[in-house]
Amino acid sequence: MNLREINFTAKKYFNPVINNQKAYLLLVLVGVLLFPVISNLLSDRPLFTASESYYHLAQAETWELSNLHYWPLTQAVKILPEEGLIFIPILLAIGSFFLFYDLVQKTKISPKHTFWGVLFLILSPAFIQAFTNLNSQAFFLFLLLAVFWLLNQNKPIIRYLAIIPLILASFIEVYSSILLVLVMMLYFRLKSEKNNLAVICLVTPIFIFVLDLFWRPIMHGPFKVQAWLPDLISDLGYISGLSFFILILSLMGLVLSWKKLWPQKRLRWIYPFGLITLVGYFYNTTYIFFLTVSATFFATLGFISLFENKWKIKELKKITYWLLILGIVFSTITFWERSNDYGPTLSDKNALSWIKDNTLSQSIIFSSPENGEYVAYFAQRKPFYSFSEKNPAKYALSQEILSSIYIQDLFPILEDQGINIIYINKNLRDRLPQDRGFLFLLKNERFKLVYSNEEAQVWSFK
Amino acid sequence: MRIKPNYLLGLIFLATIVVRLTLAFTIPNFTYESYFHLRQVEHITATGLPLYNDPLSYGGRELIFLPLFHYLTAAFNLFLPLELVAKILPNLLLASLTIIIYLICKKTVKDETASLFSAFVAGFLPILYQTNSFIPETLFIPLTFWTIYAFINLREKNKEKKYLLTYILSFLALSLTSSATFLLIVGLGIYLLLNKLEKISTGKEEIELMLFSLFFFIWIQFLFFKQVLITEGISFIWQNVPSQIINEFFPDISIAQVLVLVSIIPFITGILVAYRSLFYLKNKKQLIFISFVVSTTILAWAKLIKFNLSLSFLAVILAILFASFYVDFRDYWSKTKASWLNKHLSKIIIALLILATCVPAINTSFQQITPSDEEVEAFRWIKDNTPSESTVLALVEEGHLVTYYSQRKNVMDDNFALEDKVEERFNDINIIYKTQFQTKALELTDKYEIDYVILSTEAKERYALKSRFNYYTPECFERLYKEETKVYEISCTLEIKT
Repeated sequence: MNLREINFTAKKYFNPVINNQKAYLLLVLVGVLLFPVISNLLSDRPLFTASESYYHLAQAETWELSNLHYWPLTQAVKILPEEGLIFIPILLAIGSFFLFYDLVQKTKISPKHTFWGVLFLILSPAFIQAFTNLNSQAFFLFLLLAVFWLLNQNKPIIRYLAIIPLILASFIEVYSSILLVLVMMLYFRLKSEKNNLAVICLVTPIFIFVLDLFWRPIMHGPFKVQAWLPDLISDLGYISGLSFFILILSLMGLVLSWKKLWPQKRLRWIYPFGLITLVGYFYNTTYIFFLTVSATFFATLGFISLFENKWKIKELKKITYWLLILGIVFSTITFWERSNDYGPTLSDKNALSWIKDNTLSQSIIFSSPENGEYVAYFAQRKPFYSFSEKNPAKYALSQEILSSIYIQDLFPILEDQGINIIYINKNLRDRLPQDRGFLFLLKNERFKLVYSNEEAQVWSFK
Repeated sequence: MRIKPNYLLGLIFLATIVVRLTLAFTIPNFTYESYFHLRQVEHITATGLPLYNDPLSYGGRELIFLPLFHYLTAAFNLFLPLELVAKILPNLLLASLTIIIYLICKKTVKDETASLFSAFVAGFLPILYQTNSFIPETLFIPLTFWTIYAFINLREKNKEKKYLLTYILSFLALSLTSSATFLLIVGLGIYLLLNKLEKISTGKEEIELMLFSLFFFIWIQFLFFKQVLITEGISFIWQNVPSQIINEFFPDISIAQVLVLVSIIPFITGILVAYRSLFYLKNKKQLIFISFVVSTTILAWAKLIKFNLSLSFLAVILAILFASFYVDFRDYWSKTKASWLNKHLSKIIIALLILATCVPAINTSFQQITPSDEEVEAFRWIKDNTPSESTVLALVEEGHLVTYYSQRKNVMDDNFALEDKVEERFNDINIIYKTQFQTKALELTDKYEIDYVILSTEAKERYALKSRFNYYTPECFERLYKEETKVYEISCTLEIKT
């Protein structure tokens, strides 16, 4: 078979995929999202792997005026069994998928761009992580697509319904309202619309943004210690992040598309959007999903312009093309492999449930800050510190406890802070030295081991 | 009578190989790190596969590395003894640099005399005179320059396909030899950038090859080092080296030391050529080498590449730039009143080069740190006189001697990647050697299940020990091997009575 024949064969198989992309990509989407879920299910672990999920679940169980927007989740928690909650993000992903394809039909975006863009996004670890967890960014994306979908309907009354998801999306946090204002400006500029609806759609998120400033966080999280570079690239071991190949392609796309897009005044807004997602990421690395969306956009431009150009060495073009595809798939597969290394284990859940059933409701539980959200949700007790608190002094204190060597240093802190339960799980035990420091101090008579299973321990302090 | 340049090149190559091999066979044994690679080659020869799951290193661990160099040696090992191949092959590979550099210089400066001078410099660069090192870098360096040679010839009329194939094949080989190949990729990236800045057009095929190289290299690295990347993240670059010895890998070195290792003449002339090419001549042919100087400097400064390798790479590039300097200098000199000196210029340069390169090169070779025959004998003794399941403690750098000669489990060696708590382990080893308290030493020997401890001359010097451990008692530490190097069997354990 010569090269021309191979090329013909590739086109023969590839064109039907592009033409029926919706069906194929839906299959990929469902497969990609279900794989980590099934893997967790088979290894008997809680299905949500990100701390953020437990943060939202804990918030949904706290009935306060500021948590009013958690009402739908509160109802879902009441109706669905714990395992069933996993279908919320998956259904959001499928919903977003259909909304997106319905919108694409009304635009001039080429099927090739749509196919590669959607495929790259679906395969990105950040997407899988966002849509297999309760994630504010995933929810925002769904609401945003719903806004656009409604705005593109023919009946004016339905178009006005777009205000509902718009308000909901604006209420997620301050950052989401900033993004909404920008996206709405971009949208109405592209559409050249200057009607009442446009004014409402722009004013609403601005108004809510001002409101948000008083009583909503700028961003949710972070839910872990932040590190810009490692958190950016999934291949460097982070639970979420971008594929290294997508990152390179997006940089290439940025450079290659600059000459084409920047002179077009209406499209120029794409760059500030990308910049805001980048700034958002630097401010809080939990916000990798929005950056992934921007990066995927540019990566698609880069990928297509790279391979639409004529190459002088045609054989090299084919090899490079397959190297890229395989590299991107490789990142997804390694992410899958690691997906059940993260999040709470069944032992964690059992130990924390024991705390819930056997300790006083006002107990303060000390553990590593990473476990804070699990404590709040599974044990329904106040963790001494969790990352979402954003309290540097308290974080420093929790580190001081974990690194204490002498009881003279440790006991006064525990007494002053009213800590009476200590929760040690496998991660924490692996991280700390056994023969000295905090774990060694637990041998003191004031600590009593009240619960233990193969991986987790609960100690009381008197 | 004018001797043909090819004969002269052959003479330079021959001189290089003779000097290198003489030094290699004069100095006994290999550098410490070589023994890891020797063991891998032995395993490949025996089984056809590298030893990725090593049962002896750190008492048993997984260690992934790029295996091309080991396979190449194993191929020779099929019909020659390993220790002979390990002395000849690396020196032959590094001596081949003379031919590669000659070809590169001939292509860029189109002057045979200048190219021969560069070949001579490349053949006697002091930094490359670790003649007893059996390490993948000895293949990596000539292969890199062979790849560069193919790259600069891509636009050669009627030979494009030949050089394209050469580039692709040598790049594939490079990617399977050392992760330091990214030095080449960064260099090519900087070359692209400099071309853009200098408004020099870059060939389409050059850009295509760069893209291919970039993606192929990343792909290979992911394939081999997936687990290391995931476990260690960005710190995989620093190979999990304990902070106590990171300076040995990325040392702060003075200009004077660089001048000696790179050799003063190519260093000064190379910088001069780089400066002139970049700011005055805008010479495209030299731009690619200047790009590599820039990339090497940046990567070495950022401590992203082992210092020795970056210096070796830099030294070879400076040797290439020397050809350009020679041509410019000769042309300039012929225009001065002292032009009558031109006919003696070659002789003067040869004399200067011999002084500036050969002498420091031989000196560098004699300064190599290798174990003595007596030490090697002690490690061999362990193999014949201890149970095969035992664990032997030696210095970190002697760890490969334990696995290679003694064929016993070591506590630690200098392959730190993927190992948990290396700093703790490193500190514990230091404590065992220098503590005054037997209880502390026994606590740690129990921790790592150590059965034998080896006290070499190097260990005695490092920890200022006279002839034995400070806590030595014959009841707990039975001396089995009683030469200058000593082997102790540990016969006590620490028991905590309640």
